[in-house]
This record gives sequence, C-alpha cells and structure tokens, in this order.
Amino acid sequence: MFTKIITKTSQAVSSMSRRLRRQSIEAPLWERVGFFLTLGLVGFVSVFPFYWMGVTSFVDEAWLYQRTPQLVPAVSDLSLTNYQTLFGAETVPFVQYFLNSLFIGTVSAALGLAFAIFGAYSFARLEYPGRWIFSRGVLVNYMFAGILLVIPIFQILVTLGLVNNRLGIIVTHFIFVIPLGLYLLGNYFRSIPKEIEEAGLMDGYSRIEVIARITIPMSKPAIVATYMYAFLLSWNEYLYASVILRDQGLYTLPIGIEQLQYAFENVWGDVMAASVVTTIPVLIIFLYLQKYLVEGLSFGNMD
Amino acid sequence: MTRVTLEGVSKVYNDAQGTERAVDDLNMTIGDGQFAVIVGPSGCGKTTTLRMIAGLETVTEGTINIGDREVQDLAPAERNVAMVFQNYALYPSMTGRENMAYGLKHAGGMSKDERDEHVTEMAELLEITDILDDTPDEMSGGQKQRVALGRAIVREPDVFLLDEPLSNLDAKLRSEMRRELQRIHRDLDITTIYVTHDQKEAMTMSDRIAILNDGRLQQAASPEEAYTQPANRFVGEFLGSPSMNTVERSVDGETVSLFGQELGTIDSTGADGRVRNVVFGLRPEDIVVGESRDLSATASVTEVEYQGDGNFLFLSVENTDMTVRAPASVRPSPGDLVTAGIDRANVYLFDADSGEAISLKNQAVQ
Amino acid sequence: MSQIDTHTDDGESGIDGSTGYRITLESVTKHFEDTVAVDGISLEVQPGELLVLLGPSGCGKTTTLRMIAGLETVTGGQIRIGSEDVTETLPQNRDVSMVFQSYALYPHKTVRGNLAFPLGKTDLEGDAKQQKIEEVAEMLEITELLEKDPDQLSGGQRQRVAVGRTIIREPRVFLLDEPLSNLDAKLRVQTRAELHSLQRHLGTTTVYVTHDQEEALSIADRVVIMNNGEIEQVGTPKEVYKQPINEFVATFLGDPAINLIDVTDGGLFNGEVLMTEIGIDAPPETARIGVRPEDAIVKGGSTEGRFTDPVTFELDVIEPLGHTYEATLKRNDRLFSIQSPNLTGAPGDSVQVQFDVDQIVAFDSAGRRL
Repeated sequence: MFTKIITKTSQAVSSMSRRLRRQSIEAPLWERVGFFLTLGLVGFVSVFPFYWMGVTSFVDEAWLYQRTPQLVPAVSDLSLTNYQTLFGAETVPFVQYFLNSLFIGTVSAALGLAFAIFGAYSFARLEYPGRWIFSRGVLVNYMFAGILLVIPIFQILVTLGLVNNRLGIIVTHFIFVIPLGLYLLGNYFRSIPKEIEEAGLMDGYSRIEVIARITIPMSKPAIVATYMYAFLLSWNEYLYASVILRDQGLYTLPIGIEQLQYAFENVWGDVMAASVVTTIPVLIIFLYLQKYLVEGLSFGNMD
Repeated sequence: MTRVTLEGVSKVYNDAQGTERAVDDLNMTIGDGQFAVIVGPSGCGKTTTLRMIAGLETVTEGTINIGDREVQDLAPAERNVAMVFQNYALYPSMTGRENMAYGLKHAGGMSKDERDEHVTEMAELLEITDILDDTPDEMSGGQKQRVALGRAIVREPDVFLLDEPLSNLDAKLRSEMRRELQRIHRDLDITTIYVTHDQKEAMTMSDRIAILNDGRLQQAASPEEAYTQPANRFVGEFLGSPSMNTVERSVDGETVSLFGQELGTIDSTGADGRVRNVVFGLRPEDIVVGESRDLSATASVTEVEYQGDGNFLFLSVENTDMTVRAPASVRPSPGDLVTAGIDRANVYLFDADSGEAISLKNQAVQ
Repeated sequence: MSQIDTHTDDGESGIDGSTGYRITLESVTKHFEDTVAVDGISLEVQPGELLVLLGPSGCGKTTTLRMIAGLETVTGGQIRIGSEDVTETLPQNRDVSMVFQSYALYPHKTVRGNLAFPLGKTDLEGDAKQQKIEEVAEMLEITELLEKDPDQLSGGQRQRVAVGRTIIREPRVFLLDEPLSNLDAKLRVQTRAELHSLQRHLGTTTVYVTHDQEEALSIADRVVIMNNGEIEQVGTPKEVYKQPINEFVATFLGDPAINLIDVTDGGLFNGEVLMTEIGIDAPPETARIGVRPEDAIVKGGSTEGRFTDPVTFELDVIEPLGHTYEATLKRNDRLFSIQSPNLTGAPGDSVQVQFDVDQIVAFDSAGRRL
C-alpha cells in the first residue's frame, strides 16, 4: 500500500516535471522551484485562517488551551457543543441576526443594482454636460475611509428619523454600493459593442427598449457580480451597523458576533461557530455564481 | 550555408479537451538564401511551425536543423534567427533607432559607433532614415513595419522569420511592401521563412511555397508548379482567386464525363477496388464564354461583376455554380444564356474521397 | 412604442421596375467638434439602385451612411427618404435597416431570435411571423442554423444572419457598412455575388459602404468616390475606372495602381509624342499621363488597336498570380508596374512593352483629367 503511494507520487512528480520542462525551453530549475514555493506560501497564508476557524468551532475550549498546541484535533475531540449553544434559545437570538442580515443585504443590493444599472448606462453611452465630473466624482467616494463619513451620515439619518431602523442601514449600504456598481457596470456596458445597441435601434426599438431587451440580458455576468458584491458588502459591514442599530432585535451578523464576545467568557468556540455560519452563505453564493463573478469582474477591470 | 531542415516535426498540445496535433510529421527543406512561404488557412499549423523554428514553441517530435546545427532544444537566443511579428512588437518607449540597435546591444561585441553605423546603413536600405528618432506611436503602420524589419535584419541573422508581417497594412501599402521585401531579400540574400494566410502573398513572393492544412504539408513546390500541378484538391482550391470551380461526378466504368461530354478514361480501381467519384477542377480563367471548346455547355448568367481589367461572370451550368474570369469585352447580362467551354488540358481531376490529383490515361500530366 | 409606418404610398418605380424609395442628400454636413467629417455633400440614390460609397478610411463614407441611418445627427443640410424629410427622425422611426461591419448579432439570442427581433415592431404575429422567418432563412440557406447561438456560427454564417435580420422587415432602405470585410478572400467573392443577386431580386434601394475598390466596382450600379468629406466622382463602375475625373480617383481604383508619369520626364518615354498621339493638346510641362498596368502589353502579345512603339525596361520584380503575372519594371530608375499573362523572365532581364494608346489618360497640374 505504502509503496504503491510512493510509486504513484513519483510518477506524478516526474510527469509534472516533464511537463514543466516542455512548457518552456528557458526557465531554469531554481525559477520553477521558486515559483511553486511562493505559490504554496501564498496559498497557506490565505487558507490557514479559514482552517483554524473551522477547527475552533468544532472543539472544546479546553483543546484550544492545552499545554502543547496541536494543529489537527483527534476525532474524539470534535463536538457540536458550540453550534448547540449558538442556536440554543436561551443564549442569543442568532437566527434573528441571520434573518436581519439576509433582509438588509437583499434589499440594499437590489436597490443599489437598479440605481447602478441606469447610472452606469448613462456614463457609458449617453452624452450630457458634466458626465465626466459625475462619472469620476463617484469614485472619489472611495478615497474616504468609511469612518470619516460616519458622523455626517449619522446626522443625516438622525434628521430623517432613520436611526435604529432597518431602512436607515439599507440606505447607508446602498450609498456604499453605488460607486463600485457604477464602475463595474459602466465598464461592462462599454465593453458591449455599440453597434449591437444600434442594431436594436435600426430594428425599430427605442433606447429604453434596447436597454431592457439587449443591454441588460447581455450584461448578466456583470449584473450578477455587482449584486453579489453589494450583498456581501452589506453582509460583512460592521461599522455603520454598529452605530445605527441599537435594538438587539435589529442586529446584523457582524454586530451579533461581536456581542457574543461581550456577553460571555471563553467563547472562541461560539464566535467561530457563528463565523462559520456567516461564511457558509458567502461560500455557497460564490461557488454557485463564480462563473459570472469572474467574467463580470475581469471585464470590469479592463478599462 | 544556412539551410533549414525540418524532419518529422510534430507539435502536440495536451489539455483538458484532449490531444491536438497542431503540426503533424512535417518534412521540409528550405535552401540557402531561399524565400520560402508557408501558407494555409487559419489553424493549419503554419504559425506554430514558424514559432518552433524560432524556438518560441517546443518541438514535440522531430528535429530542426539550421545550417549544421540541430536547434530544437536550443533557446531562441542561441539560434541566431530573427523574427518579425504580425503586430510589429516594437518597444513602445524607444525610438526607431533604439529599437533597431537594441538587439545588437544585447548581442554585444560591437561598439556604440559600430552599432550606429550599422543601424544607419540598414535604415537607408529601408528608407526610414528620417523617422529613426520617432517613437512607434508617432509612426504610421508602414513605417512601424519597416522599423520592425530593420530591427530583425540589422542583426544579420542566419534565418529571417516573418509572421504575417503585412496583414495590418492597407491593400495599396501591402502590395508595395510585398515588392519591397522581395528587393530586400534579393539584396541581403538571407534564408527567409514567411508565414501568411494570403494565397496571393504566398504566390507572388516565394521561391518555394509550402501549403499546410490541418497540420499536414499538402505540397511544397514553386508557386507556378503548385498552381498548375496541384497535388490535391485542397491545393487546387486554395491557390488562385476566384478559386477553382469544382464539380463532383461519379465515374462510369473508367470513363469520366462532365456535362454530358466524355473527358477521357482513368484507372478507376482505387486501393480498395471500388469505382471512384471524381472532382473536376476548372479554373475561372480557363473557362471561355461565347465559344465552344473541347468541352462545352449552355450556361445561364446569374451575376456579372465589373473588375476594371475584366469581368467576373457567375454562371449556372446544370445547377452547378461556376465563376469565370472573362476579358472586358465579354459582358453578358444576368439571365442571358451563353456557351461556356473549356479545353480538356485545362481540366483538373481529383479523387473525391482522398482529394489526391489523378490523371487521365494516355495523357501527359497537366 | 409606436409601430413603424409602412410608407407604402411613397415608393417609386425603380430601375428594374421594382418599387423603391429615392434617397436624397442635400448639402449634408457633419462636424465632430472641430473636424469636418462630411463637407456639404449632395447626392441622389435612385429607387432600387445599389449605390456604393467608396473611399479611404476617414473620408466620411461611414459617417454619411450613419446619418442616413439616423445614428449620427446631421450638422447641416437635409436627408429625404422618398418625399419624407427624415433629417430629424429618430433611427427607430426611419424604417431603414442596416448590416454592420461586425454584424452586431444579439449574442444572447438564437439565430431565430435574431431574425424575430425586428419583426417585433411589425404587424406580424404568431404563425405568420414564424413563416416569415422560415422564408428568409430558406432564401439565405440558414434554415439549419435557426436554433444555434451566434457564437456557434462561422464568419460567413453570421454574415448571412445579419443580412437576414436586415431584409426580414422589408424596410424602405438597406444600409450596408463594410458587410464583407470580415470574411476571407474566397468567401468574399462568393458572398458578394450572392448579395448582389439578392439586392436585385428584392429591388430595395441600397447604400453600401466599402473601402475596397474591387468590391465597389464588382457590386455597384453606381459608385460614389469620397475623399476628405467630399465627393470626388459619381458614376458607373466603368465610368469611374476608365474615365476618372482626377488623379485621386484614378489612383484609388485599380490594383496594382495606375502608373502616373510626368510628361516631361523623359526617363520612361517621350511624353510629348504620346500626348500628341492620344490627341490631347495641353501644356506638357504641367501634365501627367496615367497608364493602367493591364494596358501595357509585353511585346509579342496581340496588339489590335493603337499601340505605342516598344519601350525596353529591365524586369525588377515578377510576381505570379496564377492567372496572370504582375511585374515591376525599371527604366532609368523609374518604376513602372504592368500586369500581363504572357510575361516570363527573371529580375534583371529586359522586357519590351507597348502601351494601348486609347486607354491612356492625362491629367493637368492640379490633377484634373484633361
């Protein structure tokens, strides 16, 4: 059995190295070794935190604090206690947080997307005075760290009576979604040949009809990518949610997880279990829609 | 003495979709100082072949010799070949002069003055002396083209490789550069391999033309030989514009007939003993309208195109479409019925299954 | 949105007795900021005619076409289709259709969907609509492609679909912008002839833009040669080729290009004698003569008609095309190109050439034909 594995491995290695050699006549060995070492390092650094999050969520606190730390827990160390605590009725309304986040993310992303589609189209295709200022100005928004705008936005929301209110946080997330949405979609629309829309005009359709029947269906990847981006932005957003939302019943996941830490002691397991639950929808969305995401984002970056 | 020899050269790509033989068992010799053109439709393997000679692609099987050296495992820099790319690939931040001198500088062994002298000399030959201090974005397409050529030639390589160098130029400039390249080649006498998809470029420029299709060599010959004695149907149809008209007919015994008239007899038993179908090839310029020839038929005119120095006629003969290159004096109208004829000696014959050229019995090869 | 008017009352009898619409351009001008793209052109496209706008890139031909389509606004002047002034009409209300250079097929629709799209704005519904699609598909031999997506099609097939989408609605006018330029040379010859037959068969007034002189001469009823936003010459292919109005037109048409020689440049032959021979009486010091490559014959060929005495050249470059040879000849450092099927020899050999006197044209110092 063992020798079999070794033979297999050595076969794989030699076929790999043969392949590498045939790939290019030039690249010397050290270059190839360096390349794969770097790749491995980057991979490790990005994947390890997720691994540790998962491990922590499935073990007891005691295992974490043992004298000689271990990387891999034994099967007997694993338990679902943390998850039971999380969803248990007497601790925190975690399910409520989850539903809050889902609602706020869905609605703010939808609003942001609708707005961005029309804004981006106007940047990409229509001619009007001030277009340049608008289209660049919107990106300036990004140069400010979020924290700089907390107070002004908070004051506006106070005036509008939207503090401690779902609409308030939806509007805030919507504001932050717009710039990148305009940028991504604008670039995608520009990548659609103008003649395809002109063909629609020549076929007898008005501009609005052409947008609805040709431009939008053709931009599905960018639209999906923008929606996901907007949803994730809202899903992960902590700062504004923590300022605007007061009632525990309105909390979103990021504040909820933080509350876990304040509320209990020795809660790494619970916090990580909550994090896993928060990450899962993101992963599912990503795996399901990654085809669109890659296409939409790579188009968006080609300016 | 820089002869380039390819022996059993193949290029295989393996990827998720499977194995693809981009170039399949290519055998070719390009003589010292020859201007050879590799031509074929896109995807035929011509650019891959050139890139293998340049060292930009690995060779899966076979050997490539440049002069006496076996080069397929050498890095591009060690092969002493120069290449001109389709998009010119000039260094955008350098002037024309710097672009041309860069390769020399890199090769070493020359002082700055010597390099300058060399570049100036080559610039004169290419008539680009006055744009030497411009950067590529200040140059027109034709000028970039010349600088790219200069950069390649100035190194005095053993072999000069050109990958569709004229395809980004407009038609007028293209014919001009075509002739210019032939003069330069005549002056420098460097073995040259030129890749194009344009049969006209291939015919007009080459000493020797190699026609590729699906990674396989179809025929290597002088342009006139390939045109008048195509080895197979593909070559026959590929060379010439408008292309050769083809008509498929079954063979009756050993007799082949076209439009009800007997052309002659062939050896009708193929390798598998079956009676073959044949394809007749008729070049547009060999069909005569308004006169009877060895083979004649009545045709209806579907379209007439004015060409300045003549007309193209589109005919329908027994439901077969035929294109005819006619002199200016022959100008029927669409809908007219005309006589169309061709001499027996001008009819090409191919095996419909294998595509190979076949000849009539008791008749010399065309 | 409003349905397109069918404008049936406005057609005229076309050149083949078919009903077509006249297109009239009156002093049409187009400015892009500081540049003048089209400089006051007036033009009348006859009902049912296939008119080709030909010129080098940047000459204003595509802008002109796009103004007729309504895709560009008109800076000055008037455009009429039939008797209707469409200068300010939105493109979707002009009832004209267009084939774009890139074909501009809707990538998210099947071939059937692409063909159906223009019909969405007509009265055709349900079965009648499907029947129309089948009919057009059959005419263009793309029936078996109907359920495919555009990205599964070859270049030639896409081109057919684009043409189908243009004709299906039976618009008043067809506009074609370099419709063959993305096809390879072989397919271009074939498709060109088919397009020509189709247009004649439908009898719809057509404006066709190309930069390719061979294509223009082949397909046009009349050719408009444009340069720098202005019209240089309008005429049948034969007129513009044989009787070019100026040196620009003469040089633009024909491949290899016409040879232009200063009359006083004795390097090639005695121009003054030649001028007398072709019967043009002009101050020779300012004139140039033009000889097309195919009007020079190699000594030994048939010389029916009036030919000059043989002139001896040195063969510089010889290029076989299969059906003929093109060659560049040299004499006293002057280059001269000819085209002849019975040319032999290698660079350096001497060749004797005679010129067809009746085909020679001459130009004055301003480039106008004498």
